[in-house]
Amino acid sequence: MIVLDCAACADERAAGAAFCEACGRDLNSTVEGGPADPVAEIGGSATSGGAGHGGRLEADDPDPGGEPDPSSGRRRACPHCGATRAVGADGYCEECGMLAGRPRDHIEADGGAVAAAVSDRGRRHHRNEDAMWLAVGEAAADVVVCDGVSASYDPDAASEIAARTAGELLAAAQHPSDEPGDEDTLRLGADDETTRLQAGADTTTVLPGDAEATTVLPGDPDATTVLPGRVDPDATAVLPGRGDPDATAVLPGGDAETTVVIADAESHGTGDSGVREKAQTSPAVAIAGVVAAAIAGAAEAVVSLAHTGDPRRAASNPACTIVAAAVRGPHVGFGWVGDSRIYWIDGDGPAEQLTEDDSWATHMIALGADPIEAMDDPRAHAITAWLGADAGPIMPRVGAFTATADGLLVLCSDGLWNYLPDPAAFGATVREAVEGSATLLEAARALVKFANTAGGADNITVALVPVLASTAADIEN
Amino acid sequence: MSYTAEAFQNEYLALGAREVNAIVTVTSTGATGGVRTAGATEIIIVDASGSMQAEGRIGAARQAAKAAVECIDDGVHFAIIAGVSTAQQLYPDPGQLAVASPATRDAALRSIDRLQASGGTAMGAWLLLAAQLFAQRPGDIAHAILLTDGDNGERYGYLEQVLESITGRFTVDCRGVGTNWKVSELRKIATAMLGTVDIVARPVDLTAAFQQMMTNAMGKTSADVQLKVWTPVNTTVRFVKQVEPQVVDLTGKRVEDGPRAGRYPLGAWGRESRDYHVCVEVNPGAAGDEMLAARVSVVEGDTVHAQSLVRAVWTDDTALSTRINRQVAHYTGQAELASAIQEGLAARESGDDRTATLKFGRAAQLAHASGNTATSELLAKVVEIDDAVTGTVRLRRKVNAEDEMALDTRSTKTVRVGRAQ
Repeated sequence: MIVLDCAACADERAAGAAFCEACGRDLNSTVEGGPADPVAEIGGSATSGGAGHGGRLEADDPDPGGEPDPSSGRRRACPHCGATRAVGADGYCEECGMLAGRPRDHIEADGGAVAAAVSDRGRRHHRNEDAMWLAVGEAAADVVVCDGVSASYDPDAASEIAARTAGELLAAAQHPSDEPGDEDTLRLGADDETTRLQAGADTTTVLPGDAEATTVLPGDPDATTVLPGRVDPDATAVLPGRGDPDATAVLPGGDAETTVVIADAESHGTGDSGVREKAQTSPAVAIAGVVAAAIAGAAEAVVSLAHTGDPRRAASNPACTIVAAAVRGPHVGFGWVGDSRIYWIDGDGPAEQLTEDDSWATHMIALGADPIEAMDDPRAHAITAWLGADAGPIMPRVGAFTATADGLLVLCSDGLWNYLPDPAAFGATVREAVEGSATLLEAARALVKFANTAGGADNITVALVPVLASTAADIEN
Repeated sequence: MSYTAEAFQNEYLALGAREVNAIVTVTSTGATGGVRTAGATEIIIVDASGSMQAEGRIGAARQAAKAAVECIDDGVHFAIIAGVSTAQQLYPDPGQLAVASPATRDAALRSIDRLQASGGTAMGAWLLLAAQLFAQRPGDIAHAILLTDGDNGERYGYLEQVLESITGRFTVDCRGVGTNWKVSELRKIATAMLGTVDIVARPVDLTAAFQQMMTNAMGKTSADVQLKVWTPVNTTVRFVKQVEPQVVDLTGKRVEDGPRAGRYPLGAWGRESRDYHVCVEVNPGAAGDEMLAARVSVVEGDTVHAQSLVRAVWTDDTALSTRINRQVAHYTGQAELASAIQEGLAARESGDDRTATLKFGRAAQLAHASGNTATSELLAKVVEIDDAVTGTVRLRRKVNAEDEMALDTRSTKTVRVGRAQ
């Protein structure tokens, strides 16, 4: 069970509660972290602790006074030394000097039964350099996970801007009806499935960073209120392990009806002719094209960081990995750069890793090296592709498939998969987390807790997206 | 006045590490239009002891004092003290301060002509009289110039006693003319009074030196700026040093200011930028812990002008913890350079040529590596530098006293590091 502090009164409470039990403060609203606050604008809902001092750590703090900002009122107790009312406006304890916590230390995004994601600092790193984005609709989800390269300067800024940029590009592509006649519209509107998505666009809910940002979508004001813990009991029934036992017989890629494409796309992925050709036949591949474009956009955003802000960024430019997926009904398009992964889990077999790490070990194994020796090498985890000014042209790798069996898409940073290198163990651990949890969000938390219990050596980000298999009618269309 | 304070450091520490170092650059834009918000008082103290008759020093000193008076802005209070065995006020009447105007400056110039060299050297008494005059104008930017050519003749310990009683009340820039004065003595005054010390070997150069000091003093627009350093519990401040434009150790000047904070005097400020090296010792944290090791503020009275945070983050990632911060490394080197020169000079004086050669060699190496060419040139007059890269030097047999004294007084001058990283 993850326990968070109420930013206002420091009372501990169980995660998922909407209000602090001691002082009654709304835990889902950010206090200072409004939309203009860059720190709070990270993918995820505002159910993270310490939101009350978001953004106060910047060097260009407009209030140079050493005393806590009187307008912020109440002060928290220090979680390190226990001194009461000791945490100053800049987030540090006035007694022991320890940082009381950052908003990004633990972030959760709850898309109800459609998707959930959790990002956590882990136990060994001083800050969370992972970032995520989650947007959900009816049987639709956009999810992005980025992992900052810790050897670079300000990797947390890189992951944040990459996740947000990719997420916004994916979100923009969700609404082809905004631009009738656009090529994207034609492509995405090619079958009933996406038509239904367009019709249902106003129910899509975007959960970037803070509660206020959930108003991003035009249309239905109700869409702004996806509350943590909102669960459709019917939807949970289709999760792996609870669904149709027949589903185990159908693996994506193992079925003739399923299209799996692993293809290199140019950085302007949507313009790639190979992807477009297939777009006319497979909605999943069309989605993959959108994902590739979103990653290309994220890459440009990360490159732009090298010459803004701290001059040290120019010497060691901010960099991160990215993995993104867009789910529309049974159609899944995904892409990645680096070693953040996507797994597909259904039935009771081992998890299937859909991505192939851009890492030294993977590269050496591909060249014929012994896998065990390669993974033991100190360079094993050195990544061979990333987003950043020094990365050169980005070649995001993309994939697409249409699920023919219900399953679960798991996107995660290496903070989780490092503890589960064996696909069978990965699958079993995820299934156990899902079966032991009432909601997807709880399952994601359980996986984060698993990694933290195993050592928490790195930041941990996990996103879970159940995918319902296409019906025969879908496939025909 | 608007100030900025910027900290440069590698905040990442290896597990178990407890020393946190940061360079804090304080920059002031100066007052709007260069106008002083407070008043200013200037006192010129000229040694008029008998030895000043040699080499035309008293004549040059008269010229220099006159040039300094010409530099005083209208409206600034001022006085001139003639230093002999006692302190005698040359201008205006004893116990008074004049307000600068064309008329008072003319009167001052005439009184300077009466300056005669006869008598002893009593720096403690001179400074004490200056302190009494400055006391009439509390809150002013208070600055004095002290010119001497010889040893202090007062009983042992008296000068130290006086300095202790007047430290922080005004700034003193000391200049020694000729080579018969002691660097250590003037440095003691300059250090206590947050001023500078330098040699003016030739009397003819005095005028330029006085003009430069007075122009600099007139550029100051804030009287008493301080560096406030907050540190958490169980933390020790190892040192606070000014490291640019010259090395000044401020550690001993700390005045407690509430729990866990202390103030270090920075003296008067104009439009300028200075660098400070703050070193604190903290209790090590666990991997991933982040601590605010110090909160460094630029304060004037109760006003906080600027603030910068010095952080400590413990990590088991050696790629992060072994990063060298250029600023910290550079100024650590500059401080070592200053002490290597002073230790080298002391060893040379005591006849320990081996130690002197080692120290000067290290100094040559540091000066070369940091691009401090001014110090390299001064050093080259005292030792033959065979190879600056390895620090191979030979002591020169004959060294001019003035070269040795110039090296001594200017050893604390530092150069700034590039900001690129």
